[in-house]
Amino acid sequence: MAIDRDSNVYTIVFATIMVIIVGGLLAFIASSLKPLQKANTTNEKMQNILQAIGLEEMRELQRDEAGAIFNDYVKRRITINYKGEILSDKTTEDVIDPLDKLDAFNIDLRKEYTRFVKPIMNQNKGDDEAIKAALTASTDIHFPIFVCKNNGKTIYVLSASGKGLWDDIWGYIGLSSDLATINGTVFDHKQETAGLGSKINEAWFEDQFIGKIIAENGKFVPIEVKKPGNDLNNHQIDGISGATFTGVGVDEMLGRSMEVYYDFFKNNSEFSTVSNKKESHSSKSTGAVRLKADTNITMELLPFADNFDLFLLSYSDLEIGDSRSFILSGIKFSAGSANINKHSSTKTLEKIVEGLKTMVGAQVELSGHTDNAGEEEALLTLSKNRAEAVKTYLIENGVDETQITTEGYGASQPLASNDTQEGKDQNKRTEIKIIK
Amino acid sequence: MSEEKKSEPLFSKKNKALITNPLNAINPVTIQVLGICSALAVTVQMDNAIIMSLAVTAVLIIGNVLVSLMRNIIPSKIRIIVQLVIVAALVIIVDQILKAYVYDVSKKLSVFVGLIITNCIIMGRLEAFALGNKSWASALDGLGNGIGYGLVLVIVAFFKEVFGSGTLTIPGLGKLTIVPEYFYELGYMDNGLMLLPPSSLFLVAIYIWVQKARTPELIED
Repeated sequence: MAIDRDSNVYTIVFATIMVIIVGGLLAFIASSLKPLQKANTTNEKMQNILQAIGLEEMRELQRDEAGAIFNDYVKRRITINYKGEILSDKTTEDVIDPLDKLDAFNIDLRKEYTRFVKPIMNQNKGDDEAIKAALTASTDIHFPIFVCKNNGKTIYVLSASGKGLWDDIWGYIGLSSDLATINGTVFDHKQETAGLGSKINEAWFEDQFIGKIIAENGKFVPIEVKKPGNDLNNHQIDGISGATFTGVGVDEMLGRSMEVYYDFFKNNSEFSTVSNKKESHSSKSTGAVRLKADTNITMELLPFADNFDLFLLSYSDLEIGDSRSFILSGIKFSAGSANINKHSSTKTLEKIVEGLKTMVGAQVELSGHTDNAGEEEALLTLSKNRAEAVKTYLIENGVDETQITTEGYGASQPLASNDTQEGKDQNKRTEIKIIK
Repeated sequence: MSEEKKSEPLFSKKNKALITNPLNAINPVTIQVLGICSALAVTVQMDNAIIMSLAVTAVLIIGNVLVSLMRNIIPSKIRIIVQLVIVAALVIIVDQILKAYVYDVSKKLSVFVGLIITNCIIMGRLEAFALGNKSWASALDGLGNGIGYGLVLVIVAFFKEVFGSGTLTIPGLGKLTIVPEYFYELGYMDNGLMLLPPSSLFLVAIYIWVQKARTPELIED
C-alpha cells in the first residue's frame, strides 16, 4: 500500500472523515425517528392521565388508543403556580400546542422537579421551613390540573414528581370532587431498582391509594407510605418491602404537591363550593355511600380489607334494622379445610375485632361461600365450618358471643362464573353482614 | 493462504466452532469473565435478560463486521477510539430505534442499553477477533459470543426471577406465575436477596462450578 497508515496525517484525516460520517448518520437517524418517539411519549402521558382517573374500563387502556379518547374525558387543563394563581386555563376546544409551555399538558413533571424544586431543596437542606418558604416564593414551579368528567362525575387528575432512590419518580393522582378521596393513581420511575422500587408502577401498589383520604376536618393530611406490615388508617398505605427510599420519595412528593393543590381548591370558590354543596347535600351522603359511587363499585358487597374505615363508617351510617355486607377478602383457609391460614388472615381478623368493639349493639352474621368444586352437601358443611372458625377466633379475642351468628351457603351465592379460575377465587369467600 | 480461505464453505468446521465455542469452552461471561456487569444488573426479570441479550448480540455482530471490513484502513494508533466510536454509534442507533418502535421495551431497559457501550464483550471481541479476521468469520464470532452471553443471562435470570418473585416474565406471554399461591399460604416466602445484584454473583459462580464439573478440560491447574 502506498499510504503510510502510521503517519500522523493519515490518522488525522481518517479521524476527521469518520467523525463527519458518524455524526451525520446519527443526526439523520435521530431526526427521522423523532416524530415517532414524540408520539410515543405524548400518548403515554395521555394514557397515564386517563388511567389516574380511576375508571375500571381504563385499566387495560393501550398507549396508542389514549390519544383518540383523551378529549372525551379531559375537559379542562389548568396550570397553577405555588401560590395557587391560575396561569393557563384551556378547554377541549383549545388544541394542545406543543410550543405553549404553560399548557397543563406540556408541563414536564420531571423537569419541574429537577430544574426548580431540587435546587431549592439542596440549598436549604435540613431546614424544612426555609424550603417551604423558598418553594412558595418561586414562580417557576407549575402544577397541572386535568379536570375530567365521566358520567356526570368530576375527577381532578393532579401530578407529583420527586426523587426515588436512584433517579426521578413521578405520578398522577385522581382526586374526587369532594377534594379528599383519591380515586386512582399512576406512578412511574426512571430507574428504581428492578424488582424492588420499580414496583411503584404496578397495580397492587397504585390501587392501595384508592379510597384513601387527603383531608380531615377541612385540613390537608398527607398520605403516608408506611413500612409494610403495619396497621393502616385511611391516610396510610403499605410501602414496598426492600424499597424504603422509593417509598420515602413517594411520601415526600405527594405531601409537597398535594398540599398546593388542596389549598388551591379550597381557596378557589369555583371548586370548593361544588364540594361543599355536595357535602351538605344530605346526611346520608357521607363517606361510605359517596366513596362507593365514586369508585364505581356497583356491587352491594365491598371488599373489607382495603376499606376498614368504610366498615366503621357504614355502621354509624345505618338506620336501625338496616344491614350491610362486606367481603372479608383477607381471610384465607387451607385448601378444603376450615383451618384459618393465620399468616395471611390475622391482620383482617384483628381489624374486625377492633371494629366490632366500637359497634355497640351490632349483630353480625358471618357467612361462608365456596366455588362449585365438590358435593353440594360437603360444600355447605365446609362453608358453615369456615364461618364457625372465624366466629371462634372473634370470641377468643373478646367479641361477645351473642352478637355473632354464622351461616354456610356453599356454592349457592356465586359472585362470578365458576368457569374460570378467577371466578372461582372470587366465589370462595367469607362475608360479614353487620345489622344495626 | 488467502486462496485456501476462498474455497472454504460458509459453515466449515472452523466456522461452526466460532459459534459453538463461546457457548461453553470460551463462554464470554463464565470463562473470559467479560460482560459480568450487565449479567449482574439486568437479570431480575427474564424478559429484560432476553431483550438485553438480543441487543448485545445485534451490536456485537454489526460491530464485528464493520471493524472487520475496516481492519485494513484503521490507523493502529487510534484503533481503540475508532472501535469505541463505532460501538457508541451503533448503541445510539439501537436505543433510538427501540424508543421509536418498541417504546415499552426501551423504558424497561432504560440505561442498560447505553451501557452496552461499556460491555467488555463488545470491545473485547472487536479488539481480539474482528481486527484480525474476515467479516464472515467476525459475524459468526459475534453471533456465538452474543448467544454465549445471552445463555448465561437467561439462566441466571430464570433462577433469580423464580426464586425472587415467584414469576417468569417472558416477552409475548407476559408474567407467568410459577410458585403457586398454595405455597405462600403454607408460609413460603420469596427470597428478597434474589432481586439484588449480589445474588447474580452466587448464581454465576454456581454456573461456573457446574460447567467446569461437566467439562474437566476447563479446569486450570
